[in-house]
Amino acid sequence: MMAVSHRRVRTVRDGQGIRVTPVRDHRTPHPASVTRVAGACALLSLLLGSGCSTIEEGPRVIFCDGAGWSGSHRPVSAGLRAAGFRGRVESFAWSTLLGPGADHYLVARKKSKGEELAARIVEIRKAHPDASLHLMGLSAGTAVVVFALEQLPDGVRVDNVVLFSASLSERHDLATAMQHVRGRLYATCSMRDRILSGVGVTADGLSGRPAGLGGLRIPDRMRSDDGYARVVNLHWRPAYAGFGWTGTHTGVADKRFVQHVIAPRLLDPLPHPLDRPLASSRTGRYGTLARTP
Amino acid sequence: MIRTRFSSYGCIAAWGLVALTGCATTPDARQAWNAEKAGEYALAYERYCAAAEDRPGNAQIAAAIRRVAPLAARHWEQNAHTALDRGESIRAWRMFMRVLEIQPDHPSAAQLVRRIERDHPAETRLARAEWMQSNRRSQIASAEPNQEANPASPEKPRTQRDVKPEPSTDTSKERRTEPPVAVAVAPPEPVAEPPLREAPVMAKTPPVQTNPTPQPIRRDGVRHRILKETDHGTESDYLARRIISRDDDRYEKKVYVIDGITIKLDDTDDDPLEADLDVYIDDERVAKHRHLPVGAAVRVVGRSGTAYRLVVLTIRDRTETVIFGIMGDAPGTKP
Repeated sequence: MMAVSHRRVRTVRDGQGIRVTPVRDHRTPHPASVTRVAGACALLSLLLGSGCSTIEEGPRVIFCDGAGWSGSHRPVSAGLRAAGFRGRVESFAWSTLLGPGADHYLVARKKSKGEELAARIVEIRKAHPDASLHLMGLSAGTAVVVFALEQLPDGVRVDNVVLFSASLSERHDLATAMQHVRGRLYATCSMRDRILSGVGVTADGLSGRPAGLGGLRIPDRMRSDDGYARVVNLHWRPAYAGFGWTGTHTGVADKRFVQHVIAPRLLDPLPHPLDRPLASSRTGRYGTLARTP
Repeated sequence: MIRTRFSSYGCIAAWGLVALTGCATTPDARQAWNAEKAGEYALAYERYCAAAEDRPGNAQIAAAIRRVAPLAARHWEQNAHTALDRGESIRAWRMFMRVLEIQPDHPSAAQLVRRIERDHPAETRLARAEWMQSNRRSQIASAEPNQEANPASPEKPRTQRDVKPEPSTDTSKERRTEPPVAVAVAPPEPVAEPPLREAPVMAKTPPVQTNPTPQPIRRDGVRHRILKETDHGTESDYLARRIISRDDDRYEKKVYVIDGITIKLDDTDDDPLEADLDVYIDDERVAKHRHLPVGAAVRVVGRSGTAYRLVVLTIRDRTETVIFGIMGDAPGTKP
């Protein structure tokens, strides 16, 4: 059987007779372009393989959304930018994609994700030791944030932490976590939060009320210098309705609330005059309401 | 027939609109609206916040708070600057803090608060300690749902619910220095001014000099001084506010206030609404004050000999809870 060539030819008649020349088929790539594409692919795979290690310089916020929820990153980011934050607001995905129940109750999953987040923080700190870095979490995402802080190596610290409607226990021992916070830890809380009111077990697997209801409390066995002088509960007030937070669970991530209430505390290096840390009351230690009953 | 149908559709549409937006016609909202119309923006802000406490999800109230908040903050800021010019640093500090409460991202209030704290560290230390102690409780209390009255909202005493703001005809900026945020309980029938009932130890100190105010005669024949609004002072006059309760676990029934003074709640009554308070100086009971209604003021002398005025702001008999404030012996003066 005779082999059939699919190569197209062109006959050209000139003064020297008839010449047959091959016609270039545009469906087949040019050898030079093949080389270029191959080179680009190799470079891209190299960058991806190495984790694209060029971390942009500048302030940065890492946000962990709530259990089975991913709608708060955008308003938080918009609120920060409206307040003048000129940095990256990156979302750290930690959800199991199995729904809010699984996300909330699987503590081991959150701890492993916290480890990943801690590794990311170490990476950022290694690249830019002096750039401001803030952590934020909503609902069960606050547990990921706190677990990450607890797993950070010595000497690695973030600037500020904001826990929106925290579903971790109000009795969670924050001493270790606060060693990795330069500034302050803010926890918003509202007794009008109906989602947290119905939570039986907290996102960190401990007993007790979620911190997003009545605020964080200081365990009795703590010493006064264990970092709680930099822990501030931001309780819902009627005035916050004007900022879009009506006391609901996810409403705390409203753009206006973040812009007017949260962002000033992050952007100003000095403590906000309205801050009331847990360990600064007249009674010497913490004040009766802050103490765990 | 068609007109009837259209009117019924209109009613349904109006009902739906009200149901969706939420009716904002609470007493607080009405007072706030009147105050806003009168140009009393600070008072309007307080009342709108009170309305938001009852209906936090109401869009109209939230919009009203957003609308009035910058004006209220400006009001307090102007007064704070005036106080600063007069050398009243602590008063200015309190007012700038109020500005920040209304507008946390105010461009200059935070710096001015810090500057006052730096220039007057000793004076502001006490003021801040008092502020933090009182607000720690009040913030937690303000977050409690389904309260028939929020005892600890820093913005407002609940008994102000019955106070209608007087529309002001004077439109000048300096027509008043502070909004009437204090409590006033109007007596039903004017009678002659009775002498202050003096506690055993308090008898050593002169009675509070206030304007004669007609007082109701109590059923047990004891008369109390109910302060007029002008005597009651403003929110910034209070050195401290406290909540004490016998049944509400969030609060203690005995609380330290200032200058060695500790107040203990002995009992409350429902009809008439009144409270029994004991005054302690350094753990020693020095006075018993019985049958104090809302608005009653008693004179208390601290460990240092400084005289204070204790004012009953709110009584809630259901949970046996009392809110009181303590101020200098005369409104506007600090000990």
